[in-house]
Amino acid sequence: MTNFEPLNQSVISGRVDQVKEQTKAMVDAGVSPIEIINQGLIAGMNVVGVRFKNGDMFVPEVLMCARSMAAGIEIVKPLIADTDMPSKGKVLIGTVKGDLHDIGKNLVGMMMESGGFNVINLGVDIPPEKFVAAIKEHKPDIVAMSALLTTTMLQMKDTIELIKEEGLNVKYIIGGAPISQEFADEIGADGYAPDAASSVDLCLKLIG
Amino acid sequence: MRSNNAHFITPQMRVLSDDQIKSIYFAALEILERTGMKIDCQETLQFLADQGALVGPGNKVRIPAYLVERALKTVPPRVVLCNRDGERKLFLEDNNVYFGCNPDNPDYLDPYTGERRPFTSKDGKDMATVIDYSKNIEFVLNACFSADVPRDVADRVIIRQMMLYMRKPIGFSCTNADSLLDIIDMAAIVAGGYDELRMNPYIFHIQEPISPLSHDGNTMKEIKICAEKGIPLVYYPMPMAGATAPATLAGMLAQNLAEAFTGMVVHQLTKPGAPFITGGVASIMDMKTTRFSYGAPEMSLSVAGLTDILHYLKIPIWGTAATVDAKTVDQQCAAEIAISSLMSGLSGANLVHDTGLMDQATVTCPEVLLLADEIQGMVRRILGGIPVTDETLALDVVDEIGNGGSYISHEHTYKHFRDFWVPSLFDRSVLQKGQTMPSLTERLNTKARYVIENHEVPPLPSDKLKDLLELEKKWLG
Ligand code: B1M
Repeated sequence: MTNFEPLNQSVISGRVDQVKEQTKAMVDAGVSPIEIINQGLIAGMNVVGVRFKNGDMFVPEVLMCARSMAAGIEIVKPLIADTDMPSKGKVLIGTVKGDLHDIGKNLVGMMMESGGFNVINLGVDIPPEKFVAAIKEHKPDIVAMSALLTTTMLQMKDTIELIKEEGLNVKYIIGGAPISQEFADEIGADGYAPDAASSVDLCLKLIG
Repeated sequence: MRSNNAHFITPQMRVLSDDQIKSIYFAALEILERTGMKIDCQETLQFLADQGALVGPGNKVRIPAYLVERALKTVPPRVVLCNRDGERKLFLEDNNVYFGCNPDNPDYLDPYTGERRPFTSKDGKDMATVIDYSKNIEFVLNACFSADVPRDVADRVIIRQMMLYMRKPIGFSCTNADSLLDIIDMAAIVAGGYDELRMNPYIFHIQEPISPLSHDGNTMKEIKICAEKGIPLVYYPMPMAGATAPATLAGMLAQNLAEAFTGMVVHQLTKPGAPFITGGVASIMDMKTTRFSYGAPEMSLSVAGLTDILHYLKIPIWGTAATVDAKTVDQQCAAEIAISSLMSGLSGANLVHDTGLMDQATVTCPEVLLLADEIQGMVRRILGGIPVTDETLALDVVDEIGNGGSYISHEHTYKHFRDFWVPSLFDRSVLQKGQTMPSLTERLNTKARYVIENHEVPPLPSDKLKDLLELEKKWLG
């Protein structure tokens, strides 16, 4: 039985170098790469998620933990076939047309990545057509849209409508300061998340 | 308020030494030369290239120090803003401090119902009345919020409300370059023509870079329009330490300055000597909630640092104070207003904006303006300093009253007691047994309603009003 506890702890304390060393040592000792990811790296990150939600950790700490987890994954990745790589799903994220606010959106993207999702970040000021083109190209499970302005919120509706018109099959989630659950319901989005941590939970709920 | 520092009596504070200022200034020049800026506007990139900047792939431009120095040579050391009657009121120079507020916001705390709801243009009228009444609120900054009118005309509607129902100088952000031109037309009507508006600016425009180190194309268009038409421009970033700027304040200030300089270079090289103001809403990201903190001590400190740097460079300063993280008019709100207003006052930022924004710039109300007005009155008194003259040393009076006498009925007291700050809201009363004092929030609410219902603002002259309403048809139909 491998003891994953020290690796979990290294992820929890965000020690990138230590995570790399311990991961390498496990690989050398012949531990299964998938187990290293699931029980060593992701398990550590799960603890981080809970602590953050309880207000016991700060965002930069969480992101450092995510970085240390990613550093471990980098090492074991070449040993696993792409199709076997644990991924919770693919998310396409962008700020809608006319809106240049990207800090919240980027944070949501980072948190989703650290939650085990494969995230494609389109950037800001993304018109509906661009979302559609990107869906065709990347085939995501979820499209996440961000808007910080009351003047750009309605772009979310237009985007969802165009995606539906094109007959593409994805889930839509939305967020940003002026967005609410009522607005999400009104425009037919599958979900709304008030902050980065809860958008990870929302994705898990939608495709888990 | 005009400062008295010529006589060395305005208390002044510095948070940076001359050497620290120079280090930050040179760091900003290094950022411009080494990392450069991303500017999403081909015309501006070509313009900068023609002036000697290095344009590279990805809309990136590296700006050499001499272009900044050239802009610094032509940027005016002072800008004067006028009120609705064309009187020159705000002298943005030296350490003069003027506080201003944001009348419109996404939400409004209704003083009649206590409810938080979307802001409407009717609320704009009530806010304007309270602003006109508040002595220490000396200008406004409008955005584009009014839920009762179409979104793309909200900018012009709120400005009309300000022009009609208050008399102070008007700053604004707007939807795009076309609405900027409309707003200039509106102001020209009030000022009595375009030349008059240029000579006695009644409006100013604000625009923002996108930290870190990026600038939008529409922004560049608006900078050019302001330069050419002589409309004072405020170009300032909103960096968030630890998110869109280094977590260390010195690095954030250097980046803030580099971003501001980019606008200044484009603006001054387009039209040397055009009125320009800069500063920054430089704060931190709260690392638990990820919110941009408006009430953080780091915000007051950073803005004071920028103020020191801009005094050194002799550029009129856009400050930030009295904007709070508190969600309503409560104890936290008062503390945040007090600390930031005093910090701005002592450091001498010129055009100090954002008074009365709550919950990270998403809600406002009349009560918060009245509270800030009271606190800023105290700040104004402190900035009056302690004049030391024969008259104020009053040695003859001291000798006359002598040991154990009283000053209360002396002529000297009668002559000078009016210098004492008199509260209009804060309580100093003597409470009788069994009596209770209504809370400050209750008194604020009573006063807000009184002012809304009773304060009279002289109407805009009828010919101007007529022209304004006629012009409005262009966007209101
Ligand atoms: C599933 O998908 C999801 C799920 C959750 C999602 C999600 C997507 N997206 C976000 N979330 C959620 O999770 C995130 C993390 O927990 C959260 O993201 P947030 O983005 O809310 O939080 C970030 C981590 C930190 N917060 C932020 O980054 C925003 C902070 C504030 C101060 C802000 C900033 C910094 C900026 N701004 Co602007 N700005 C304001 C903001 C005030 C505020 N109270 O929000 C706001 C949003 N801005 C506003 C405005 C009006 C504007 N801004 C403008 C410009 C800018 C800057 C460029 C200067 C800068 C943006 C820099 C950048 N790189 O993004 C202009 C518009 C430009 C444009 N076309 O987009 C301008 C028009 C001009 C102006 N007044 O400043 C206001 C919008 C009001 C409204 N409701 O319409 C505003 C509330 C401030 C104000 N009162 O003026 C959640 O919302």
